[in-house]
Amino acid sequence: MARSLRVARQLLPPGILVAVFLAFWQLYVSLSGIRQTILPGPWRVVEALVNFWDVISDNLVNTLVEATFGFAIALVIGFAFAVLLDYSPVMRRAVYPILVASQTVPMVAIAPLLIIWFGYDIIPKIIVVWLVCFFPIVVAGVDGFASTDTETTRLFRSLQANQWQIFWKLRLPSALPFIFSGIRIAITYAIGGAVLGEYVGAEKGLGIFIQRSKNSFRNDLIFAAVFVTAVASIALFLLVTIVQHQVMPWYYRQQAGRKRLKK
Amino acid sequence: MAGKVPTTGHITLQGISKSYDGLEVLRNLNLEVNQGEFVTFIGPSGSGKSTIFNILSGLEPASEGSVQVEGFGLERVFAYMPQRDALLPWRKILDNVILGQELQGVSKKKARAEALGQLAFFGLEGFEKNYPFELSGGMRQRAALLRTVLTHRPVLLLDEPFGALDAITRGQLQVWLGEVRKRLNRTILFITHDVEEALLLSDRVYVLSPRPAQIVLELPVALDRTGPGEIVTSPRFVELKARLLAALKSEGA
Ligand SMILES: Nc1ncnc2c1ncn2[C@@H]1O[C@H](COP(=O)(O)OP(=O)(O)OP(=O)(O)O)[C@@H](O)[C@H]1O
Ligand SMILES: [Mg+2]
Repeated sequence: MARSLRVARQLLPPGILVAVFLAFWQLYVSLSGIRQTILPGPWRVVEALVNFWDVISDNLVNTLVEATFGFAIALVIGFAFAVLLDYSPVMRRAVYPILVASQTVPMVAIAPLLIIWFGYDIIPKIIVVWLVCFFPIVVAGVDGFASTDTETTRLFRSLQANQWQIFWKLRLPSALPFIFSGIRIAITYAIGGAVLGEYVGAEKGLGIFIQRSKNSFRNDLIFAAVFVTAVASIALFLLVTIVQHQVMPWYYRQQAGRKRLKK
Repeated sequence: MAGKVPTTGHITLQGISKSYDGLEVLRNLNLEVNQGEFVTFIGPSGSGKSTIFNILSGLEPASEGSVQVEGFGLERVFAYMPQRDALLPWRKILDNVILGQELQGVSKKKARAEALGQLAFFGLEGFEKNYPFELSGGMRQRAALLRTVLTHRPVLLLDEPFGALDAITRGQLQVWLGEVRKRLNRTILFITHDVEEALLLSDRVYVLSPRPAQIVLELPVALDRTGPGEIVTSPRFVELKARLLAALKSEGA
Protein backbone atom coordinates (compact mmCIF):
# COMPACT_ATOMS: atom_id res chain seq x y z
CA MET A 1 0.00 0.00 0.00
CA ALA A 2 2.64 2.48 1.09
CA ARG A 3 4.78 1.29 -1.77
CA SER A 4 2.13 1.80 -4.45
CA LEU A 5 1.42 5.20 -2.96
CA ARG A 6 5.05 6.13 -3.32
CA VAL A 7 5.10 4.92 -6.91
CA ALA A 8 1.97 6.97 -7.61
CA ARG A 9 3.64 10.06 -6.14
CA GLN A 10 6.59 9.47 -8.47
CA LEU A 11 4.56 8.89 -11.62
CA LEU A 12 1.70 11.32 -11.18
CA PRO A 13 3.47 14.66 -11.74
CA PRO A 14 5.24 13.70 -15.00
CA GLY A 15 2.08 11.84 -16.09
CA ILE A 16 -0.07 14.94 -15.66
CA LEU A 17 2.49 17.10 -17.42
CA VAL A 18 2.63 14.75 -20.40
CA ALA A 19 -1.19 14.55 -20.53
CA VAL A 20 -1.52 18.34 -20.55
CA PHE A 21 1.11 18.61 -23.27
CA LEU A 22 -0.65 16.02 -25.43
CA ALA A 23 -3.99 17.74 -24.94
CA PHE A 24 -2.59 21.07 -26.13
CA TRP A 25 -0.88 19.41 -29.06
CA GLN A 26 -4.08 17.67 -30.14
CA LEU A 27 -6.05 20.86 -29.65
CA TYR A 28 -3.61 22.87 -31.72
CA VAL A 29 -3.62 20.35 -34.57
CA SER A 30 -7.42 20.16 -34.57
CA LEU A 31 -8.10 23.91 -34.33
CA SER A 32 -5.30 25.36 -36.49
CA GLY A 33 -6.17 23.19 -39.48
CA ILE A 34 -2.51 22.37 -40.06
CA ARG A 35 -2.07 19.44 -42.41
CA GLN A 36 -1.47 16.22 -40.52
CA THR A 37 1.30 15.25 -42.94
CA ILE A 38 3.25 18.25 -41.60
CA LEU A 39 2.34 17.91 -37.94
CA PRO A 40 0.32 14.84 -37.04
CA GLY A 41 -1.71 15.00 -33.85
CA PRO A 42 -0.97 12.57 -31.02
CA TRP A 43 -3.99 10.48 -31.93
CA ARG A 44 -2.69 10.05 -35.46
CA VAL A 45 0.68 9.02 -34.05
CA VAL A 46 -0.94 6.35 -31.89
CA GLU A 47 -2.77 5.04 -34.93
CA ALA A 48 0.48 4.89 -36.87
CA LEU A 49 2.17 3.11 -33.98
CA VAL A 50 -0.55 0.47 -33.81
CA ASN A 51 -0.76 -0.04 -37.56
CA PHE A 52 2.99 -0.31 -38.02
CA TRP A 53 3.78 -2.04 -34.75
CA ASP A 54 5.14 -5.15 -36.51
CA VAL A 55 7.68 -3.14 -38.49
CA ILE A 56 8.53 -0.80 -35.65
CA SER A 57 9.04 -3.52 -33.06
CA ASP A 58 11.19 -5.46 -35.50
CA ASN A 59 13.40 -2.40 -35.98
CA LEU A 60 13.35 -1.67 -32.26
CA VAL A 61 14.89 -5.06 -31.48
CA ASN A 62 17.73 -4.24 -33.81
CA THR A 63 18.32 -0.88 -32.16
CA LEU A 64 18.15 -2.37 -28.69
CA VAL A 65 20.73 -5.01 -29.56
CA GLU A 66 23.14 -2.36 -30.85
CA ALA A 67 22.54 -0.13 -27.85
CA THR A 68 23.06 -2.97 -25.39
CA PHE A 69 26.25 -4.23 -26.98
CA GLY A 70 27.71 -0.75 -27.37
CA PHE A 71 26.82 0.12 -23.80
CA ALA A 72 28.22 -3.13 -22.40
CA ILE A 73 31.51 -2.62 -24.19
CA ALA A 74 31.65 1.01 -23.03
CA LEU A 75 31.01 -0.13 -19.48
CA VAL A 76 33.77 -2.72 -19.47
CA ILE A 77 36.38 -0.61 -21.25
CA GLY A 78 35.30 2.58 -19.50
CA PHE A 79 35.63 0.95 -16.11
CA ALA A 80 39.05 -0.45 -16.98
CA PHE A 81 40.09 3.00 -18.15
CA ALA A 82 38.85 4.63 -14.96
CA VAL A 83 40.87 2.18 -12.88
CA LEU A 84 43.93 2.82 -15.00
CA LEU A 85 43.58 6.61 -14.75
CA ASP A 86 42.97 6.28 -11.03
CA TYR A 87 46.21 4.39 -10.48
CA SER A 88 48.43 6.42 -12.76
CA PRO A 89 48.46 10.20 -12.33
CA VAL A 90 50.66 10.45 -15.42
CA MET A 91 48.08 8.62 -17.50
CA ARG A 92 45.37 10.78 -16.02
CA ARG A 93 47.15 13.97 -17.02
CA ALA A 94 47.85 12.58 -20.47
CA VAL A 95 44.47 11.05 -21.28
CA TYR A 96 41.90 13.19 -19.47
CA PRO A 97 42.24 16.33 -21.65
CA ILE A 98 42.10 14.23 -24.81
CA LEU A 99 38.99 12.55 -23.50
CA VAL A 100 37.33 15.89 -22.84
CA ALA A 101 38.37 17.25 -26.24
CA SER A 102 37.00 14.15 -27.93
CA GLN A 103 33.56 15.09 -26.66
CA THR A 104 33.48 18.19 -28.81
CA VAL A 105 33.70 16.12 -32.00
CA PRO A 106 30.14 15.84 -33.33
CA MET A 107 28.95 12.28 -33.71
CA VAL A 108 27.18 13.12 -37.03
CA ALA A 109 30.65 13.70 -38.48
CA ILE A 110 32.07 10.42 -37.20
CA ALA A 111 29.15 8.14 -37.97
CA PRO A 112 29.38 8.32 -41.81
CA LEU A 113 33.12 7.63 -41.63
CA LEU A 114 32.47 4.55 -39.53
CA ILE A 115 30.08 3.33 -42.20
CA ILE A 116 32.73 3.83 -44.87
CA TRP A 117 35.24 1.91 -42.80
CA PHE A 118 33.10 -0.86 -41.35
CA GLY A 119 30.15 -1.21 -43.72
CA TYR A 120 26.41 -1.14 -43.17
CA ASP A 121 26.09 -3.86 -40.59
CA ILE A 122 25.94 -3.70 -36.82
CA ILE A 123 29.61 -2.90 -36.08
CA PRO A 124 29.65 0.87 -36.82
CA LYS A 125 26.48 1.35 -34.73
CA ILE A 126 28.01 -0.43 -31.79
CA ILE A 127 31.05 1.81 -32.14
CA VAL A 128 28.88 4.94 -32.13
CA VAL A 129 27.07 3.79 -29.00
CA TRP A 130 30.37 2.85 -27.40
CA LEU A 131 31.77 6.32 -28.17
CA VAL A 132 28.83 8.21 -26.64
CA CYS A 133 28.66 5.98 -23.54
CA PHE A 134 32.36 5.75 -22.85
CA PHE A 135 32.97 9.29 -21.64
CA PRO A 136 30.35 9.56 -18.87
CA ILE A 137 31.43 6.20 -17.49
CA VAL A 138 35.13 7.01 -17.41
CA VAL A 139 34.59 10.43 -15.86
CA ALA A 140 32.21 9.05 -13.24
CA GLY A 141 34.65 6.27 -12.42
CA VAL A 142 37.64 8.57 -12.05
CA ASP A 143 35.69 11.04 -9.91
CA GLY A 144 34.23 8.19 -7.88
CA PHE A 145 37.57 6.61 -7.07
CA ALA A 146 38.96 10.02 -6.17
CA SER A 147 36.09 10.56 -3.73
CA THR A 148 37.43 7.83 -1.45
CA ASP A 149 37.80 9.14 2.08
CA THR A 150 41.47 9.72 2.94
CA GLU A 151 41.05 8.99 6.64
CA THR A 152 39.46 5.62 5.83
CA THR A 153 42.29 4.90 3.42
CA ARG A 154 44.73 5.54 6.24
CA LEU A 155 42.77 3.17 8.45
CA PHE A 156 43.09 0.46 5.80
CA ARG A 157 46.79 1.08 5.46
CA SER A 158 47.29 0.96 9.21
CA LEU A 159 45.65 -2.46 9.08
CA GLN A 160 48.22 -3.53 6.46
CA ALA A 161 45.61 -3.85 3.71
CA ASN A 162 47.17 -4.60 0.33
CA GLN A 163 46.39 -2.67 -2.87
CA TRP A 164 43.95 -5.33 -3.96
CA GLN A 165 41.97 -5.12 -0.72
CA ILE A 166 42.00 -1.34 -0.78
CA PHE A 167 40.52 -1.44 -4.28
CA TRP A 168 37.80 -4.03 -3.73
CA LYS A 169 36.82 -3.23 -0.19
CA LEU A 170 37.25 0.54 -0.21
CA ARG A 171 37.77 2.39 -3.49
CA LEU A 172 35.23 0.50 -5.56
CA PRO A 173 32.36 0.73 -3.04
CA SER A 174 33.20 4.42 -2.52
CA ALA A 175 32.98 4.99 -6.27
CA LEU A 176 29.75 3.07 -6.84
CA PRO A 177 27.29 5.96 -6.43
CA PHE A 178 29.30 7.97 -8.97
CA ILE A 179 29.65 5.04 -11.34
CA PHE A 180 25.92 4.44 -11.30
CA SER A 181 25.26 8.10 -12.06
CA GLY A 182 27.58 7.75 -15.04
CA ILE A 183 25.85 4.56 -16.10
CA ARG A 184 22.45 6.21 -15.97
CA ILE A 185 23.63 9.05 -18.18
CA ALA A 186 25.31 6.61 -20.55
CA ILE A 187 22.29 4.35 -20.86
CA THR A 188 20.08 7.27 -21.85
CA TYR A 189 22.60 8.17 -24.56
CA ALA A 190 22.85 4.57 -25.76
CA ILE A 191 19.56 4.33 -27.69
CA GLY A 192 19.99 7.79 -29.17
CA GLY A 193 23.49 6.82 -30.28
CA ALA A 194 22.25 3.66 -31.95
CA VAL A 195 19.46 5.54 -33.74
CA LEU A 196 21.97 8.11 -34.97
CA GLY A 197 24.29 5.38 -36.22
CA GLU A 198 21.44 3.76 -38.11
CA TYR A 199 20.17 7.02 -39.52
CA VAL A 200 23.42 7.52 -41.39
CA GLY A 201 23.14 4.16 -43.06
CA ALA A 202 21.73 0.80 -42.11
CA GLU A 203 19.58 -2.04 -43.26
CA LYS A 204 17.47 -2.21 -40.16
CA GLY A 205 16.78 -0.27 -36.98
CA LEU A 206 14.70 2.67 -35.79
CA GLY A 207 17.19 5.14 -37.21
CA ILE A 208 16.83 3.95 -40.76
CA PHE A 209 13.08 3.55 -40.21
CA ILE A 210 12.93 7.24 -39.29
CA GLN A 211 14.92 8.18 -42.35
CA ARG A 212 12.70 6.15 -44.67
CA SER A 213 9.56 7.60 -43.05
CA LYS A 214 10.93 11.07 -43.65
CA ASN A 215 11.65 10.29 -47.28
CA SER A 216 8.08 9.10 -47.77
CA PHE A 217 6.59 12.08 -45.91
CA ARG A 218 5.21 9.92 -43.13
CA ASN A 219 5.76 12.31 -40.23
CA ASP A 220 3.32 10.32 -38.14
CA LEU A 221 5.70 7.34 -38.36
CA ILE A 222 8.64 9.53 -37.37
CA PHE A 223 6.77 10.57 -34.27
CA ALA A 224 5.83 6.97 -33.54
CA ALA A 225 9.47 5.91 -33.78
CA VAL A 226 10.59 8.79 -31.59
CA PHE A 227 8.00 7.81 -29.03
CA VAL A 228 9.25 4.22 -29.03
CA THR A 229 12.84 5.44 -28.66
CA ALA A 230 11.91 7.52 -25.65
CA VAL A 231 10.03 4.70 -23.98
CA ALA A 232 12.92 2.31 -24.57
CA SER A 233 15.39 4.79 -23.03
CA ILE A 234 13.19 5.27 -19.99
CA ALA A 235 12.85 1.50 -19.61
CA LEU A 236 16.61 1.01 -19.69
CA PHE A 237 17.04 3.85 -17.20
CA LEU A 238 14.58 2.20 -14.82
CA LEU A 239 16.37 -1.11 -15.27
CA VAL A 240 19.65 0.48 -14.19
CA THR A 241 17.92 2.04 -11.20
CA ILE A 242 16.57 -1.36 -10.16
CA VAL A 243 20.03 -2.90 -10.44
CA GLN A 244 21.42 -0.02 -8.40
CA HIS A 245 18.88 -0.69 -5.66
CA GLN A 246 20.07 -4.27 -5.53
CA VAL A 247 23.76 -3.41 -5.54
CA MET A 248 23.65 -0.43 -3.16
CA PRO A 249 20.81 -0.89 -0.68
CA TRP A 250 22.67 1.19 1.90
CA TYR A 251 22.70 4.18 -0.43
CA TYR A 252 18.94 4.31 -0.77
CA ARG A 253 18.36 3.77 2.91
CA GLN A 254 20.69 6.67 3.61
CA GLN A 255 18.98 8.86 1.03
CA ALA A 256 15.56 8.01 2.44
CA GLY A 257 16.82 8.91 5.92
CA ARG A 258 18.08 12.28 4.70
CA LYS A 259 14.79 13.07 3.02
CA ARG A 260 12.92 12.27 6.19
CA LEU A 261 15.19 14.62 8.11
CA LYS A 262 14.55 17.48 5.71
CA LYS A 263 10.81 17.33 6.31
CA MET B 1 39.31 -12.37 24.18
CA ALA B 2 42.29 -11.03 26.05
CA GLY B 3 43.94 -14.40 25.80
CA LYS B 4 44.32 -14.15 22.05
CA VAL B 5 45.97 -10.77 22.11
CA PRO B 6 49.71 -10.87 22.65
CA THR B 7 50.91 -8.53 25.36
CA THR B 8 53.57 -6.04 24.45
CA GLY B 9 56.30 -4.94 26.66
CA HIS B 10 57.57 -1.47 26.99
CA ILE B 11 57.20 1.00 24.14
CA THR B 12 60.05 3.44 23.66
CA LEU B 13 60.16 6.50 21.40
CA GLN B 14 63.69 7.73 21.02
CA GLY B 15 64.55 11.12 19.57
CA ILE B 16 61.55 11.18 17.26
CA SER B 17 61.45 14.18 14.93
CA LYS B 18 59.20 14.79 11.97
CA SER B 19 59.05 17.45 9.29
CA TYR B 20 56.76 17.75 6.28
CA ASP B 21 58.74 19.52 3.54
CA GLY B 22 60.31 22.06 5.83
CA LEU B 23 57.40 22.24 8.29
CA GLU B 24 58.80 20.98 11.56
CA VAL B 25 56.05 19.14 13.43
CA LEU B 26 57.78 17.00 16.07
CA ARG B 27 61.09 17.83 17.68
CA ASN B 28 63.13 15.22 19.49
CA LEU B 29 60.42 13.37 21.40
CA ASN B 30 61.59 10.89 24.00
CA LEU B 31 58.99 8.96 25.88
CA GLU B 32 58.09 5.57 27.21
CA VAL B 33 54.89 3.66 27.76
CA ASN B 34 54.57 0.66 30.03
CA GLN B 35 52.70 -2.50 29.35
CA GLY B 36 49.00 -2.01 30.12
CA GLU B 37 49.35 1.70 30.75
CA PHE B 38 46.83 4.37 29.66
CA VAL B 39 48.83 7.35 28.42
CA THR B 40 47.28 10.55 27.09
CA PHE B 41 48.71 13.21 24.83
CA ILE B 42 47.21 16.63 25.21
CA GLY B 43 48.19 19.72 23.33
CA PRO B 44 46.95 22.54 21.14
CA SER B 45 45.36 21.92 17.77
CA GLY B 46 47.89 21.34 15.01
CA SER B 47 50.69 20.64 17.45
CA GLY B 48 51.41 17.20 16.01
CA LYS B 49 49.49 14.77 18.21
CA SER B 50 47.99 12.84 15.32
CA THR B 51 51.42 12.82 13.68
CA ILE B 52 52.77 10.81 16.61
CA PHE B 53 50.08 8.20 16.02
CA ASN B 54 50.75 8.20 12.29
CA ILE B 55 54.37 7.37 12.95
CA LEU B 56 53.50 4.64 15.44
CA SER B 57 50.99 3.01 13.12
CA GLY B 58 53.45 3.11 10.23
CA LEU B 59 51.46 5.55 8.10
CA GLU B 60 54.31 8.06 8.09
CA PRO B 61 58.01 7.48 8.57
CA ALA B 62 59.72 9.51 11.26
CA SER B 63 62.34 11.91 9.94
CA GLU B 64 64.65 10.97 12.77
CA GLY B 65 64.63 8.69 15.77
CA SER B 66 63.22 5.26 16.41
CA VAL B 67 60.25 3.46 17.90
CA GLN B 68 60.87 0.26 19.78
CA VAL B 69 58.41 -2.20 21.18
CA GLU B 70 59.89 -4.75 23.50
CA GLY B 71 59.61 -8.22 22.04
CA PHE B 72 57.92 -7.10 18.81
CA GLY B 73 58.39 -5.93 15.29
CA LEU B 74 56.35 -2.84 14.56
CA GLU B 75 53.79 -4.43 12.26
CA ARG B 76 50.49 -5.41 13.78
CA VAL B 77 51.24 -3.91 17.17
CA PHE B 78 49.25 -0.69 16.93
CA ALA B 79 45.52 -0.53 16.32
CA TYR B 80 44.70 2.95 15.08
CA MET B 81 41.31 4.53 15.55
CA PRO B 82 41.06 7.64 13.37
CA GLN B 83 39.77 10.97 14.56
CA ARG B 84 36.50 10.45 12.69
CA ASP B 85 34.87 7.04 13.01
CA ALA B 86 35.76 6.05 9.42
CA LEU B 87 33.06 3.39 9.39
CA LEU B 88 32.25 2.13 5.90
CA PRO B 89 28.78 3.42 4.97
CA TRP B 90 28.08 0.41 2.74
CA ARG B 91 28.68 -2.15 5.46
CA LYS B 92 26.37 -3.10 8.26
CA ILE B 93 27.79 -2.64 11.75
CA LEU B 94 28.73 -6.29 12.15
CA ASP B 95 30.76 -6.25 8.95
CA ASN B 96 32.32 -2.94 9.84
CA VAL B 97 33.73 -4.12 13.14
CA ILE B 98 35.39 -7.22 11.69
CA LEU B 99 37.40 -5.22 9.15
CA GLY B 100 40.75 -5.73 10.86
CA GLN B 101 40.40 -9.49 11.02
CA GLU B 102 39.02 -9.68 7.51
CA LEU B 103 41.97 -7.78 6.05
CA GLN B 104 44.28 -10.24 7.74
CA GLY B 105 42.57 -13.12 5.96
CA VAL B 106 40.49 -14.46 8.85
CA SER B 107 37.24 -15.91 7.50
CA LYS B 108 34.29 -13.57 7.79
CA LYS B 109 32.26 -16.25 9.49
CA LYS B 110 34.74 -16.70 12.27
CA ALA B 111 35.30 -12.97 12.70
CA ARG B 112 31.55 -12.31 12.82
CA ALA B 113 31.01 -14.98 15.42
CA GLU B 114 33.56 -13.36 17.67
CA ALA B 115 32.22 -9.87 17.06
CA LEU B 116 28.67 -10.95 17.94
CA GLY B 117 29.92 -11.97 21.36
CA GLN B 118 31.26 -8.48 21.97
CA LEU B 119 28.31 -6.42 20.74
CA ALA B 120 26.45 -6.33 24.03
CA PHE B 121 29.37 -4.97 25.97
CA PHE B 122 29.84 -2.26 23.37
CA GLY B 123 26.15 -1.33 23.57
CA LEU B 124 25.54 -2.37 19.99
CA GLU B 125 23.37 -5.40 20.52
CA GLY B 126 20.47 -5.43 18.09
CA PHE B 127 22.23 -3.00 15.78
CA GLU B 128 24.51 -5.47 14.02
CA LYS B 129 22.33 -5.33 10.90
CA ASN B 130 22.09 -1.54 10.82
CA TYR B 131 24.16 0.74 8.66
CA PRO B 132 26.42 3.27 10.39
CA PHE B 133 24.26 6.26 9.44
CA GLU B 134 21.39 4.69 11.33
CA LEU B 135 23.32 4.93 14.60
CA SER B 136 23.85 7.85 16.96
CA GLY B 137 27.25 9.52 17.15
CA GLY B 138 28.05 7.80 20.42
CA MET B 139 27.15 4.40 19.03
CA ARG B 140 29.27 4.98 15.96
CA GLN B 141 32.26 5.77 18.14
CA ARG B 142 31.65 2.60 20.12
CA ALA B 143 31.46 0.65 16.88
CA ALA B 144 34.71 2.22 15.73
CA LEU B 145 36.30 1.30 19.04
CA LEU B 146 35.05 -2.27 18.77
CA ARG B 147 36.57 -2.43 15.31
CA THR B 148 39.85 -1.25 16.82
CA VAL B 149 39.69 -3.76 19.66
CA LEU B 150 38.86 -6.65 17.32
CA THR B 151 42.11 -6.17 15.43
CA HIS B 152 43.67 -8.14 18.30
CA ARG B 153 46.56 -5.78 18.43
CA PRO B 154 48.08 -5.09 21.82
CA VAL B 155 48.26 -1.29 21.69
CA LEU B 156 45.26 0.91 20.92
CA LEU B 157 45.82 4.36 19.45
CA LEU B 158 42.70 6.43 20.09
CA ASP B 159 42.77 9.82 18.39
CA GLU B 160 40.20 12.11 20.04
CA PRO B 161 37.54 9.42 19.97
CA PHE B 162 34.97 11.60 21.72
CA GLY B 163 35.93 14.94 20.16
CA ALA B 164 32.81 15.32 18.06
CA LEU B 165 30.26 14.24 20.67
CA ASP B 166 27.96 16.31 22.84
CA ALA B 167 28.93 16.74 26.50
CA ILE B 168 26.46 14.21 27.90
CA THR B 169 27.31 11.42 25.48
CA ARG B 170 30.93 12.21 25.96
CA GLY B 171 30.68 11.85 29.74
CA GLN B 172 28.92 8.51 29.34
CA LEU B 173 31.52 7.21 26.96
CA GLN B 174 34.35 8.30 29.21
CA VAL B 175 32.96 6.21 32.04
CA TRP B 176 32.36 3.37 29.67
CA LEU B 177 35.90 3.51 28.26
CA GLY B 178 37.17 3.09 31.81
CA GLU B 179 35.18 -0.15 31.97
CA VAL B 180 36.42 -1.29 28.58
CA ARG B 181 39.93 -0.73 29.69
CA LYS B 182 39.61 -2.86 32.80
CA ARG B 183 38.21 -5.65 30.73
CA LEU B 184 40.70 -5.47 27.90
CA ASN B 185 43.99 -5.12 29.68
CA ARG B 186 45.71 -3.50 26.74
CA THR B 187 48.03 -0.60 26.42
CA ILE B 188 46.13 2.52 25.34
CA LEU B 189 47.51 5.72 23.89
CA PHE B 190 44.93 8.48 23.81
CA ILE B 191 44.71 11.95 22.32
CA THR B 192 42.41 14.66 23.59
CA HIS B 193 41.97 18.41 23.84
CA ASP B 194 40.09 18.01 27.07
CA VAL B 195 41.99 18.30 30.35
CA GLU B 196 39.30 16.65 32.48
CA GLU B 197 38.97 13.78 30.05
CA ALA B 198 42.70 13.22 30.22
CA LEU B 199 42.65 13.11 34.03
CA LEU B 200 39.57 10.92 34.25
CA LEU B 201 41.02 8.22 32.07
CA SER B 202 44.80 8.23 32.18
CA ASP B 203 47.61 6.82 34.24
CA ARG B 204 49.93 9.39 32.80
CA VAL B 205 49.59 12.53 30.68
CA TYR B 206 52.08 14.16 28.31
CA VAL B 207 51.47 17.81 27.57
CA LEU B 208 52.78 18.87 24.17
CA SER B 209 53.83 22.35 23.08
CA PRO B 210 52.54 24.04 19.92
CA ARG B 211 54.35 23.05 16.74
CA PRO B 212 57.07 21.82 16.71
CA ALA B 213 55.77 19.59 19.47
CA GLN B 214 57.98 18.93 22.44
CA ILE B 215 57.05 17.48 25.79
CA VAL B 216 56.27 20.31 28.18
CA LEU B 217 55.11 18.22 31.09
CA GLU B 218 54.89 14.59 32.04
CA LEU B 219 52.23 14.14 34.70
CA PRO B 220 51.57 10.88 36.53
CA VAL B 221 47.90 10.92 37.48
CA ALA B 222 47.35 8.06 39.95
CA LEU B 223 43.84 9.07 40.96
CA ASP B 224 41.79 6.73 43.08
CA ARG B 225 38.85 6.12 40.75
CA THR B 226 37.16 3.54 42.93
CA GLY B 227 36.44 5.80 45.88
CA PRO B 228 33.05 7.35 46.62
CA GLY B 229 32.00 10.81 45.54
CA GLU B 230 32.63 12.91 42.48
CA ILE B 231 36.19 12.54 41.41
CA VAL B 232 36.28 15.83 39.54
CA THR B 233 35.75 17.82 42.73
CA SER B 234 38.38 15.99 44.76
CA PRO B 235 41.31 18.21 45.80
CA ARG B 236 43.82 15.97 44.04
CA PHE B 237 41.90 16.21 40.75
CA VAL B 238 41.63 19.97 41.02
CA GLU B 239 45.32 20.29 41.68
CA LEU B 240 46.29 18.10 38.73
CA LYS B 241 43.93 19.99 36.49
CA ALA B 242 45.50 23.29 37.49
CA ARG B 243 48.94 21.91 36.67
CA LEU B 244 47.83 20.69 33.24
CA LEU B 245 46.16 23.99 32.41
CA ALA B 246 49.22 25.90 33.56
CA ALA B 247 51.46 23.75 31.36
CA LEU B 248 49.19 24.29 28.37
CA LYS B 249 49.01 28.01 29.00
CA SER B 250 52.75 28.49 29.51
CA GLU B 251 53.25 27.41 25.92
CA GLY B 252 50.74 29.92 24.61
CA ALA B 253 48.29 27.18 23.72
N1 LIG C 1 50.66 14.70 5.41
C1 LIG C 1 50.96 15.95 5.81
N2 LIG C 1 51.64 16.77 4.98
C2 LIG C 1 51.97 18.02 5.37
N3 LIG C 1 51.66 18.55 6.57
C3 LIG C 1 50.99 17.77 7.44
C4 LIG C 1 50.61 16.44 7.12
N4 LIG C 1 49.95 15.91 8.19
C5 LIG C 1 49.94 16.88 9.12
N5 LIG C 1 50.57 17.99 8.69
C6 LIG C 1 50.76 19.22 9.46
O1 LIG C 1 51.38 18.86 10.67
C7 LIG C 1 50.85 19.64 11.74
C8 LIG C 1 50.41 18.72 12.85
O2 LIG C 1 49.31 17.97 12.41
P1 LIG C 1 48.56 16.94 13.37
O3 LIG C 1 47.43 16.41 12.59
O4 LIG C 1 49.54 15.97 13.91
O5 LIG C 1 48.05 17.90 14.52
P2 LIG C 1 47.12 17.54 15.76
O6 LIG C 1 47.87 17.91 16.97
O7 LIG C 1 46.63 16.18 15.66
O8 LIG C 1 45.94 18.59 15.56
P3 LIG C 1 44.38 18.45 15.92
O9 LIG C 1 44.29 18.57 17.40
O10 LIG C 1 43.76 19.60 15.24
O11 LIG C 1 43.93 17.13 15.42
C9 LIG C 1 49.75 20.47 11.17
O12 LIG C 1 50.22 21.79 10.99
C10 LIG C 1 49.44 19.85 9.84
O13 LIG C 1 49.07 20.82 8.92
MG1 LIG D 1 44.78 15.35 15.24
